[in-house]
Amino acid sequence: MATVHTGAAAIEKQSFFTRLNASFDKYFEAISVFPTIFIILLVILVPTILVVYQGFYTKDIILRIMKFVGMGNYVRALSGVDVDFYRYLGHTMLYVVLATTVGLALCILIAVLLNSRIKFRGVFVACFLLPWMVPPVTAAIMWKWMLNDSYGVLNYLLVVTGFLDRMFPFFSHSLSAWIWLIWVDIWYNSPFFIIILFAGLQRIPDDIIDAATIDGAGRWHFFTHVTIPYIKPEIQICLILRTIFVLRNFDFVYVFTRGGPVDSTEVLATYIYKVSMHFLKQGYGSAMSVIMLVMCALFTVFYLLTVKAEVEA
Amino acid sequence: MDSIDNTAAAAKQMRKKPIKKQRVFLYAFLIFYLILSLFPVLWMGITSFKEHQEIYTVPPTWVPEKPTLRNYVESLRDRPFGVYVVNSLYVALSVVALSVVCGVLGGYGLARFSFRGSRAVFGAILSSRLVPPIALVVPFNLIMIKFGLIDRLESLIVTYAFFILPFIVWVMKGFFEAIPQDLYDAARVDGASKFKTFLFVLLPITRPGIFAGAILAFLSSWNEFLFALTLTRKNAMTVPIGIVRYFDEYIDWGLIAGSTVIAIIPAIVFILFFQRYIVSGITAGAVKS
Repeated sequence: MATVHTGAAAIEKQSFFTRLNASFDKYFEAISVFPTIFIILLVILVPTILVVYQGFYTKDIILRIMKFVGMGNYVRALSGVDVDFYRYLGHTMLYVVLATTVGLALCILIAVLLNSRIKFRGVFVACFLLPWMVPPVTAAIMWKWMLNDSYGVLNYLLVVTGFLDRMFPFFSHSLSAWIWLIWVDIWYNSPFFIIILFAGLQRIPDDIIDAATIDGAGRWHFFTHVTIPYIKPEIQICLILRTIFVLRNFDFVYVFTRGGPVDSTEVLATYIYKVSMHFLKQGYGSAMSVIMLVMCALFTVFYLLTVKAEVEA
Repeated sequence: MDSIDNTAAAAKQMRKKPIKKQRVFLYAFLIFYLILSLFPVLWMGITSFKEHQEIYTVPPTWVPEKPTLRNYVESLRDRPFGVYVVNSLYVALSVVALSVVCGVLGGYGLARFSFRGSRAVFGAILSSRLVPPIALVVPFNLIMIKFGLIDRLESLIVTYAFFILPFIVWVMKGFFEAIPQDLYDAARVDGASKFKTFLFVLLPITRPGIFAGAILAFLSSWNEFLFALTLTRKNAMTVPIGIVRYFDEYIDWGLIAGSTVIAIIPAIVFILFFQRYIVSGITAGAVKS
């Protein structure tokens, strides 16, 4: 009797594990998604709610309490009470537009050149990748060292080759500071986009190239009528990613110019950092963060709608 | 048939016809850009081996006259840069482990398992990538203070894993979707459980994607600056913070150059060994969507 009993228990026990095993097998896909969703929800939802909440408050440093100000922080930024906000927004836009268009044009040119039956292509691709791998902070510091107005090698080379008549303090003039800031951004981010565009170019089938050649298409004609339409999806991906990369850029501006000279290269990202971390106005900083978040979201939605309209048309 | 062959041959010939001037321009431009890409890193390397006085000579010397390791020794032994390197390595490797395990599983789940709203979940995961990091600096700071994680490496690990996770999920989803259904069925018919199929059949196939994800996770955590700047104070400083500290406190370019070269080493190692995987991994993911 007793043995039968334990046997039944064993079967029951076994069946429990089998069942567990079976349901693990059945729901394996669902279980596998869980950790990702959990981490992302935890790390995105809580802070986002917190930043929106913070945006409605202002910290009274003397009384050490949070004071509810409603839309006060938003009004302060958007109505122009804080004149700097729109100026820095303008800087950000300038930065985005210039770095995106010039950078993308350069990337397309290099990708096309890489795709035109050259020797040592692998070597070129490997070397072009390097800037993207180094830490952005070191990239900014390296260029800053090369542009140093007393000992910088690049400054020296520009003098030797006759472009400058003496060592030039690039970071004391807003125009030259901007040019080099945009250049460092392009230098650093290009590799990623060159690879994406290059992969797109390799999809162009050989017979189309042949057909165009037989039809006597010139290089420029070929470029505008075959190359560009073919890699349009890649160009769109690059455009959106680049815009977002530049919009959120903090490292280069912080390390390279610190927003200077004075505040002529200050952008929204560094301004938010300064306001919340140095001036300790976390409420106002949060409100500007939300504005920036909405800007990014609007840009993405606008972009996706454009693409969708194009696909349907 | 003959005429087609002829035109194809003609086209080939036209394509191959060398246009000397343009070729020269092409190579000249590519080599110029190659120099631009490599020179800053090279120059930092040269500077790091120079003696103190030689760094500040004009015109600059192209080869160190008396090559020295002084800058490295001083940075690692006399300054706390070695601690930063260890911190950075610990953070980066933990992020790789955490985000690759979660990301590969997540990519698999989203590729194989379509439930109501699974597209929305994928969209939400991807769009979390669009949040500008600066917008999360204040709340992250508050949360980490609340949980006593400020100036602890754990706070950096969680933050970085979150930032790289969507990308890995995206790449891996593309890889898993590219695997033909027959392969799943074959493994199932042979009696393998889903977990075993995943582990022994699918993972080996998607290895390039996993490598690409791991490399990007490592490099992005090794390179990250903004959160390292705001979430650390003294104990949990990482390499980029250390370099910028040098830069702020005492502008000793020899020391900065040495530390910069140390910071770049992982990048160069990865380029040399894994360039193949990075390119194929990224392009596979990018072209899919």
